[in-house]
Amino acid sequence: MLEGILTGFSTAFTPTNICMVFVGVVAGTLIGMLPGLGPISAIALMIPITYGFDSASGLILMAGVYYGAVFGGSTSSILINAPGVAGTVATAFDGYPLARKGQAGKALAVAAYSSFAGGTIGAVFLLLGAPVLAGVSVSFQSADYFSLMLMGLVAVSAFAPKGQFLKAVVITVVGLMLATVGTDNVSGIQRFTFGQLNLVDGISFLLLAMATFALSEALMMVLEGEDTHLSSPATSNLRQLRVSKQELKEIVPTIGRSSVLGFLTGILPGAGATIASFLAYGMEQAIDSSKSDVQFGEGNLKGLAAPETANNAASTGSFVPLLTLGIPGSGTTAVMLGALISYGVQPGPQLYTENPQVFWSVIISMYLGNVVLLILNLPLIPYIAKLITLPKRFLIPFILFFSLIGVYLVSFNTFDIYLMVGFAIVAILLRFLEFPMAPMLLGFVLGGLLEDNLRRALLISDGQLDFLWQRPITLGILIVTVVILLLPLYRRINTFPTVRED
Amino acid sequence: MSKNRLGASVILVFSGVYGYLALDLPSIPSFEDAVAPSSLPIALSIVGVAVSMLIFLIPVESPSIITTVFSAIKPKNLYRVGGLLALMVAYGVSMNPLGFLISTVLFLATGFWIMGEQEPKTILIISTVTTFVFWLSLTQFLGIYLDSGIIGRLVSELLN
Repeated sequence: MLEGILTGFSTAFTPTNICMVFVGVVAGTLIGMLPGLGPISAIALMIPITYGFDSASGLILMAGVYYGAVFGGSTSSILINAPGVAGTVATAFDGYPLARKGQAGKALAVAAYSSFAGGTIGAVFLLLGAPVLAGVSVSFQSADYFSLMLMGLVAVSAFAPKGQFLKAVVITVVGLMLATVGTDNVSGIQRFTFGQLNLVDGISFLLLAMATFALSEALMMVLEGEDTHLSSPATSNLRQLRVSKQELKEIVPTIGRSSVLGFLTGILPGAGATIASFLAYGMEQAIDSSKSDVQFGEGNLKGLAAPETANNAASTGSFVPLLTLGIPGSGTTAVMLGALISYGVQPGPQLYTENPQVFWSVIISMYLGNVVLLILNLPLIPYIAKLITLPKRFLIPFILFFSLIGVYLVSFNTFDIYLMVGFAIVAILLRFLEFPMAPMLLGFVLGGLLEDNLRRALLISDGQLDFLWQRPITLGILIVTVVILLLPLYRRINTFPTVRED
Repeated sequence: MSKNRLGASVILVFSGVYGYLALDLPSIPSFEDAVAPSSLPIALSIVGVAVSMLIFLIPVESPSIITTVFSAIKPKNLYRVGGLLALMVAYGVSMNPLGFLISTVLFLATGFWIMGEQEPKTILIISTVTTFVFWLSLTQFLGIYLDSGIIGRLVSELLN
């Protein structure tokens, strides 16, 4: 392990990769701050740039964009009460009231310290936990992978907002269907290509991610119209970042608890930063129960620190299943998996043994990323916040342009542009009908892998379905899957915090 | 019709058509395969049809699309989105004949105009300068080849 950490250090601390962390964190903050654009869009927009780099640098950049976007989202939550990211909705509960009281600077500082602490503690857990899990997963077979992927797909639906379980299931199935378009890997037969040469290689995941997230989110911003309050952010006292000793003392236990809760929630497939932040907020509210002078929801510092710590710890935690099993637990890590596959890197236990420099450098770069977030973003916030006031009439055409050109520059095929427009129209319609989009992306990215593993497992078991219960690991995972599937039923009986996952 | 039911109907039709097309795929596995190319698609379409019918049939309080969606959207914004969608298609069409530089300047300029910018000077300056800077960084620093289009090639041939 020590050798691995040293390899990670030597890869992460090359000038190029340090530069990647900087670029990723800053770009992520900028994009995440724009209300409406979440981390999926932020990462998708950056992927075309990473194609020129090696896989370690690419993943470091994307990881930087991810936690930069989560941090950027908290800035717009605090300043304009319009969360740029679903994971920072809970941040606005106490962050915005603080900003309204003229303590915007302090609120941002607490958010930054909490993010830093959550991210760093999460990275320590990742450093210790990931190798153990990767070690175990080396013994996994196709049947286990098949059941794990099934669990991931089921979990993302089970953790969907209240009343959206079935919608999330059906959208996941649509994602799986789209994944079957193109040439079948095993038989070489073309499926659903309609004789189109452009579809022989299937639909590119980047195209789908850009169309259903970046493009449709930008067009939804236009459809939903001007937000008049966007022009008047609560930027008073933005430069007064001081947090008193007493205040720090108050939030330290909160940060400790929320880090652990956030990280553990992040590891769970389907539950990401959003659920973690709500859970942490709820937990602090329950523990605090009117001990503080300031009520929760009126600018309580603990109420701000808890979700901010938890969402960053969860973002780090969500890398555990991605790096060790190769299975993304959320839409955001699904985009990263898609990008890794297109670099020719297969995450999972093979990543740990065959590409240890990628595995370790990503973990090590997370420490660096958190430091960059703290020392770079905090002093720059007054200037970065100006971006929020950038007029939509310029912003929207640029987002559309970067989305289209990002996909076009990979294939140089204008058919991709038309396909993106088609997907964007369908995505806007489904968004209006309140169907979640992230499960589709997860279904799409996992679809190919799911079918490959199912076929391999069936081939080994002579076409019999007994591979599902022959190995204890497979059976165990399938039992957990069934339990997760029954969760929404349980939730109908007992109310549970329900939130929208990005 | 409620939001849930409309969404369910759209996916029901999609799953049905997908399943129908899947029936045309070979249903016998090849020698080195345990599953036929049509097996998973057919299974997926069955799940898709079943779940979307469940959504359609289970009574849930879901607001009517007429009261929520159509009253929430201003016609002006709808026209803008329509315009932007058409603009994106036009960008794809213009890319090969006009080349990257001209079509991008036109795309951005028209985009700003659709979004309500009225000052021609601002539109022209921002779209031209950003396109040129982007083109320069792609072709000169990142070494990516960008087609200059039929018109661009004609011009360079005439100049030579």
